[in-house]
Amino acid sequence: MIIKIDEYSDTPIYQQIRNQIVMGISDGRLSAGEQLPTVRALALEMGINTMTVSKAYQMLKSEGYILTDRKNGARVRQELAQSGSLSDANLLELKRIASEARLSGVKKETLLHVIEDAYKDAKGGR
Amino acid sequence: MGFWISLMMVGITLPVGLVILAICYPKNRQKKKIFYGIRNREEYEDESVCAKLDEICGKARKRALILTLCFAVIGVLLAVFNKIPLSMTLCTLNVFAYIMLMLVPFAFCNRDIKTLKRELSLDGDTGISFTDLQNADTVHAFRPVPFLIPLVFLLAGFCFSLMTDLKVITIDGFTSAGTFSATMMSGIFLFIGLIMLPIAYVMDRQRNQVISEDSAVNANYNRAIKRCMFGLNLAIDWCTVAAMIGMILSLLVFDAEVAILVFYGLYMAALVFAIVVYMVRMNRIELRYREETSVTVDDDDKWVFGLFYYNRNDRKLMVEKRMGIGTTVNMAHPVGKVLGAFLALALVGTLLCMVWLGMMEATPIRVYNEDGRVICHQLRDEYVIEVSGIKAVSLVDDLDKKDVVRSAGTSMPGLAKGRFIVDDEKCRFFMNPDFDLCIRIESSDWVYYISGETKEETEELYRTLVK
Repeated sequence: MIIKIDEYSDTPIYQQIRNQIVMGISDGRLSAGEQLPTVRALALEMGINTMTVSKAYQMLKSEGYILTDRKNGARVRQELAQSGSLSDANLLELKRIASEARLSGVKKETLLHVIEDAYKDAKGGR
Repeated sequence: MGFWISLMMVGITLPVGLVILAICYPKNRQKKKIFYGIRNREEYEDESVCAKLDEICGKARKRALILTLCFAVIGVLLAVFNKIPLSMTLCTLNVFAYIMLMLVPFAFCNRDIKTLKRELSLDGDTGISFTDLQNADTVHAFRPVPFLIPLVFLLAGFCFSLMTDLKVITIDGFTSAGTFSATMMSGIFLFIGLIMLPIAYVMDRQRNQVISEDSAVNANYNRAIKRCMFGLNLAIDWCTVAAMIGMILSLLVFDAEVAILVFYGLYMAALVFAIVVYMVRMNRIELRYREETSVTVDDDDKWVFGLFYYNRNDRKLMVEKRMGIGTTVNMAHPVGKVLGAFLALALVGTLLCMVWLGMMEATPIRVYNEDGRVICHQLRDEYVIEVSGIKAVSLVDDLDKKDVVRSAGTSMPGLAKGRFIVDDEKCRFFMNPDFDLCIRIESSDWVYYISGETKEETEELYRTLVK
């Protein structure tokens, strides 16, 4: 799985890493139980601070996407806890996107179609 | 000998220059992933852009060719007219200037292409980087054991040389035993062998390149590149072993200077051959993975003149070079800054050393008796010997060079000065060894061997001292 980092993005690097790993788990590029590189290895490979990677892993762990332990490093969880609802932050983000779409003149059907495609992509086209 | 040394320097450096020309000034830039420090892009295949690029690159290549030609002509002229003073220093300066000047057309070409990019509004992917999660710290080709074998040979060769020079081992016919020529040379070879180990390790640890969305492709591509680099480093180590063994064996048979020259020449030829093989292999890898390349990052702006990598946001110290082969440092990294400063100091230091050597070569030595003191002068008063403190003076015309070992100082054609050992006796030299005549002065603290620039000057001083 390829992670793209944009140093000049408004989104912090740890957030970019976290987002892309979540997308990778969702679309199947990262399978359940798959081993993730160690914090040090990933930081070295990306040329960033180990604290940044550590922060991303901490977020993923607290959100229940990955498991970490000293012996085995980080792994994608075998079974993810499914709440069946969007988080407040994501709901707010979706509202912002819908508002911007409406103001840009995007029709409701088009937006729903885009969301449907994004959902399909997130399932890895399944 | 001077003629052959000068000619050999041209003979060694010219193929190196041609290799530099082939690597850094490629004819077929379209086939290269990176040319003149610029990442190749699809947009460059456009007819009008292609023509402009051909013009810029052609100009740089032409300049580099002229430089190579000038270097070869100057080198041959210096070899032919090797009687002139400073010929060796000028030869070395010629090589030094050539290597430095070869960077200039490259830097100009890089600047011109960047200007063209701006005119065409081709923005780079500044700040963008890709990382393959599956391959992080997993793709390596470095294995220490194959490196240890040549190192054992090098260490054995060094120990053997040291023991023969210390006369622990005595071999009939090993005429240079005790001169420490073999120890010095094998020590240099051992150092090269040792330094290749961390270099190979660092080259292996450089960041994996992402060329495709497919992790397997990325892994295979990076593994192939790292194996190629590992092979080159190992080849250099084995070439070093071969050169050292050859040099030690030939010292048993031939004169030391000839042996050193021959094996230095063969060693350099072997290194050039290894680099050419590496280049061919790397080209094959690039061609093999060309069609599978789907991810490219244009970070040309982070490369100053295509030569120096400067990226504040990259914490990685080592990155793959854009000019030449191997790795370079990130100049924005604190360690990179230190290394850069050290390199700049080393370059300036080398240049100053060469100028100093040239001045010593060009300035004749003078010995004279003034106000009751013998003064040995070259650029400055090297030794001042009080005549009242002299215990004995003798004229020496049978000083065997084989009995003389330098411990610290200068030893070059026409000049020997500093601390030397003659028949196990520590002494100070200030003489022109080309003449077999010098004065041995035994003072209260040191034994001096001194001579003037000419025999007459030496004899004149001897007469005044005997009086």
